[in-house]
Amino acid sequence: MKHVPEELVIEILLRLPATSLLQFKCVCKSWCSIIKSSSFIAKHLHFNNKDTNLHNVLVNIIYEGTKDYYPLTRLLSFGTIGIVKPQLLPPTYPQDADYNLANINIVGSCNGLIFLYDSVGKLVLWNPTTGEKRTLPNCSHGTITGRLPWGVLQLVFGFGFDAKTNDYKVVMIHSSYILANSLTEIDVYSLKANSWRTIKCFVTKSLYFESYCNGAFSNGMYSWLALCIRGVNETSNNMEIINAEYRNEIISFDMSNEVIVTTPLPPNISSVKNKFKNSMMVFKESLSVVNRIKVKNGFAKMFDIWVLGEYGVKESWSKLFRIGPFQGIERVLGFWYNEDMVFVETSDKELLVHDVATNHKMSLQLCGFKRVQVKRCVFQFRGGGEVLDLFSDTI
Amino acid sequence: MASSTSGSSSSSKVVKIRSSDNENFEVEEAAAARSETIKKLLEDVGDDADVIPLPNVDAKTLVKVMEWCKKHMDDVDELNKEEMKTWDAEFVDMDQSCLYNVLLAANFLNIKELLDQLTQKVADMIKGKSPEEIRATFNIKNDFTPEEEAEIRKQNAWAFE
Repeated sequence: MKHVPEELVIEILLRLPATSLLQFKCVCKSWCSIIKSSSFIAKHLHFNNKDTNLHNVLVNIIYEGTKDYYPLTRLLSFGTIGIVKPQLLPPTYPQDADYNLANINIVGSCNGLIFLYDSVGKLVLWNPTTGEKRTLPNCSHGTITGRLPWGVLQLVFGFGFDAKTNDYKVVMIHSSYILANSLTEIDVYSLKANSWRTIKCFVTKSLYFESYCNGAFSNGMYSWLALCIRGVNETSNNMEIINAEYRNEIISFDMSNEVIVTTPLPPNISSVKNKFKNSMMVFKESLSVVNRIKVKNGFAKMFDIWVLGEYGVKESWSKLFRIGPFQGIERVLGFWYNEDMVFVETSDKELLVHDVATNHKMSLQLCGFKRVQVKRCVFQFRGGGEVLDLFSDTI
Repeated sequence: MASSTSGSSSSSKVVKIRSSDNENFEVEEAAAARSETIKKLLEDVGDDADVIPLPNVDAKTLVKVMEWCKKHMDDVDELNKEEMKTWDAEFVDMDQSCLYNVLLAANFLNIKELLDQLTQKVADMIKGKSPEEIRATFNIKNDFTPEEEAEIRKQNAWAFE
């Protein structure tokens, strides 16, 4: 081919996977600058979002050995649910003796990027498709170095994309308990700046973040499930919580405007009795809460899927559908293509893809471990071909 | 002088287009209008149009492009979608110099769907190639110094594994 005009080169490059793009950076200077430009990265991401064959599913499992925990992370192709790469632990985590106890917590995924942290305080951004990773610098608050003081101080993380500034952000809130009508300090990491800064956020409710449930990112907001406490006498030094009312609510951090938004759950699933029964996930780009219901006089369980229309608006919840009742299924971990295909965890802790319409179950047969003791999470993420040149530009 | 006339309904309007090497073609307006460029030219000149000159496209390429336009003249119903997919796959399966010419023509004639198919074809073709092969394919001169190239390769080492 003779000379291909740049506009066509861009059109061709948009259709290539990340690994090809990174190799092709050394073709020539003009290709390199196209591939590195933020406008191209954004376009490439948008282009690949349309193609579900490029989506991937990340499964993170904590396998309990005789005395240790082994984190196992596997990348599955969205199209085939087959394992894409056999060994996919982030490179920071060699399976050597020092890391046997490393507890990798995957906080969230966004545009093909994963944010995780471990029990020794390392914070990592990772692109499982390309293998790129970045260890985040220490935050000025300093509480993330060394072993996390679990149980004493509550530390919650969020991760998402700020469409306004085209930047990825990690948020860190550390507090054991946030008082109503108080300013709380939140640390925000920006990938572009590669640094942390502290912001003050006004919180109108007394709240405690639930740690049993994963958070979720959708529509520019990272959300956590929290226990909100009303009726606490905030002025008193000894908090009078005897007559307090406890409710589960959604606490969301707006990545662009950097404010906290609270959304009460639908009345029938917001009581504290639903602790451990509610979990959050993303269903077709919307934040959803899955509520587990035990069938009366039996062991079967059903799952109601609620979807939030607008953050902060309690009335915008809608119950989309119910799946089940199932025997032997403990948890719904995520959706595959649609509401008919769900990732579920059985009471034997096995991970299955369940076709609700045909009742067909498919085992993922991850790594040959028959009995996986503790399941962490299933992440479906978009744009598996994302180029992370933001990384190399700022290092 | 070559001519390409339609086999379908005689009532459909025919327009004349001329390639860069001065060959005239008669094509159904509905087919020619798949090209946004031709469509706009037709609107501008109205019914007074004699021949629409296309100075950037030679006869061989124009025949190929019009073959695609004729095939894609009408909306495809669900039943024929698979058949069309096969036809499209066979259509873009051409030698590199031809692919290059049709790609530039589709760009100039502004036929988005064809351009999508062609750029996808080129992407599929170069997906597994090395940077050296890419330079050879696109006739690109390597303007990096050996040190610069080594540095980029080092930064993206895992991609070359």
